[in-house]
Amino acid sequence: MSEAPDPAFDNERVMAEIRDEVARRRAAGDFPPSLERELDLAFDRYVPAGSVSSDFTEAVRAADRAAYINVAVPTESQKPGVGEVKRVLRKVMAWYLNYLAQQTTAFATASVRAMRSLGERLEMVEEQLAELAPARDDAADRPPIAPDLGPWAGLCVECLPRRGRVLHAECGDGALLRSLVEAGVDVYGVEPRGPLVDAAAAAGLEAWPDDPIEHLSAVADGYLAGLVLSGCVDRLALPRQRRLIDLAAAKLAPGAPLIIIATLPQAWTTSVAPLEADLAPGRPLHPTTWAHLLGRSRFADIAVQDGGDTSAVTAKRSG
Amino acid sequence: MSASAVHQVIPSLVRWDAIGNHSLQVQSILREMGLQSEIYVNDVGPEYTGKAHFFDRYQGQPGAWLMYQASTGSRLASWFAQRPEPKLVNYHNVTPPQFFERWEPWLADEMVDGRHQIAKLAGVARHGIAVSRYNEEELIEFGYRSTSTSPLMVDMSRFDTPSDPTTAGWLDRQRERGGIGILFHGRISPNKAQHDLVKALVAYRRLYDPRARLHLTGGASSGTYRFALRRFIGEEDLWDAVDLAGAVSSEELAAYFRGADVYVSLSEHEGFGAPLLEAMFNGLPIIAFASSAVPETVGDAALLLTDKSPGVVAAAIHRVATDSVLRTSLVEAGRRRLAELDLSRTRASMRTTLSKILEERS
Repeated sequence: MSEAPDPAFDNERVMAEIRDEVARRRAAGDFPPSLERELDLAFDRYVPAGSVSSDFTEAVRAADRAAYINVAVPTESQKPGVGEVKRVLRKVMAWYLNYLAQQTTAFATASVRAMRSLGERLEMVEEQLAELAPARDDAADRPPIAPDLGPWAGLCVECLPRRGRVLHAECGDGALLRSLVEAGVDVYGVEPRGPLVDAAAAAGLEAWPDDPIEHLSAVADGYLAGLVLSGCVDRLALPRQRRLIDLAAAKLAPGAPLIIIATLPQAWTTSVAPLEADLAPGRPLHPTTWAHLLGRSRFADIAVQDGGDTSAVTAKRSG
Repeated sequence: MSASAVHQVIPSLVRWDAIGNHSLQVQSILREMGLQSEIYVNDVGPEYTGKAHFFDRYQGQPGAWLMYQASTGSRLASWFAQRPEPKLVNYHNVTPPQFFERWEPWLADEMVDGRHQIAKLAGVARHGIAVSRYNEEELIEFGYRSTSTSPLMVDMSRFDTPSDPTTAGWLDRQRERGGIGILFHGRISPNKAQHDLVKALVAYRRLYDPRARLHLTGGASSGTYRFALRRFIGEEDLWDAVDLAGAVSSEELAAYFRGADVYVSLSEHEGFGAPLLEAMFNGLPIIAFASSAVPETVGDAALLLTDKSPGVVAAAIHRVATDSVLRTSLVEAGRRRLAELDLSRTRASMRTTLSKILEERS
């Protein structure tokens, strides 16, 4: 303990002594950590659930706890005489409050029961939906091997405009990006596999680590002057492939070109790594199928070009 | 063109509100500087009806600047942003919405709006004056290019009053029964963490002083939080030990400050923390959780905690209550710190800040 007034006492020293004191009292069993935990839990019981961060079960539990209306209001008071007045009031009003509380409790209990039943049904629906939902495409399930898009560089350079932003998704290690930049295209790329996007960025290309669908979802409508899709188009499940086309239609400016570089289904299992082929949630589509889907969306001037194991489908966003 | 007037815009001007009082001080400084200065509000308390005008009565004048006292979301912010006059923002901080999300979602939304509004004003304000360095850092994060800090001006004249005799008498009788009195003054609000004070009281009564009492003064910002606090107090069987006094008059507040043994703040968010200065003014030793602007406001005049687990807070209260040397050091440090933040000094700081801004940016 300090012995004389210290004009600027040492906060750290005093706090260290306090922590020692706490440790000593805890070791002696005077104030076990479990009591602190109990205090936390005691207050947490009154923290409302149902906020954004809490789950449905917690919210229903909280509603359940709150459903019981206790008419035994606390009557203690530090002020003289007030406690006695409160006790008299409680006694006098008990018949009235009990009558109301019984009805309110019955209503609250019935509501919670209905909510619980609704929750159970919702859970069943969610389980069934989960079975129907396509498997997720996870970049971690694919080796970081850059696809060879070299044969299509000439076509891309020819189709893509020199004004406006162009996106290549997925851009791999940026080989096609480089050809396009050299040709004067204002292009950037996204690629979900870290090592590949790092390689592209290290080469001075504008490449971002992102999932193609998530990235396209965040792009402003009509912003893109051109779009090249590769890689992702081969692996995604059909609903996601359709979603990709819808996004392309939304994000491309009228008249802007779309180029889909896709692996042919018959060549796919031999042209990608076994890990990627086995764990992919979907399979490549035939180029004619891509053309059909584009035709049903907002695209025109659709053309297919074959090139060995891969093909390119080109189209223009309708005006 | 040099400024001939600086008018203030403040969402609400009510008695004994720290920001309202600060605005009145700013007005007095501006008038001392020879400038015209009026206060325009959205909402005014009855005691200030002659001192403020409703904002929709404002008519622009050549050479006038506007200064927004920013502390909450308000429709005034949009009105202020659209005015053509050169603008200043005096930032008092907006409570981060996460404190209210679980308790009062609508209030949390208002806080989100408030923070967005203040961030938007970065584009139109010529300068942002923060009442603490902590707040200035937020202004910089919001994108303000020109900022400075001038402390909150806290007028202690509210304590130039005798204690309310009924409250003082009741507190005296409690003291006679033994046990120390712990005080915290501030709105009942999740970010002020009054529930942590109740937990600390449980620990303190169990470990050191079974007759200790906790006095919580201040109205409620969140009815849901206050209700939970009441239920928690009931569950811990502390109705005879915890006094939820609610909003109190100046005389009652004086009685509480004068009748307490220690001031404890476990608040998790303060843009400045005016009641800490009030505790210093009333000669109370302070124990405070070192969050947000609290360390900056108290300087070395508080026992600062980085851990507010109930056992640690209880041991800190016990230490301050029983170590007279430490207690004296804290009280004396409080007086020194208060002298540094004395109204004459904070007024001088604000005057220098305003003069510099008006000179440089006119």
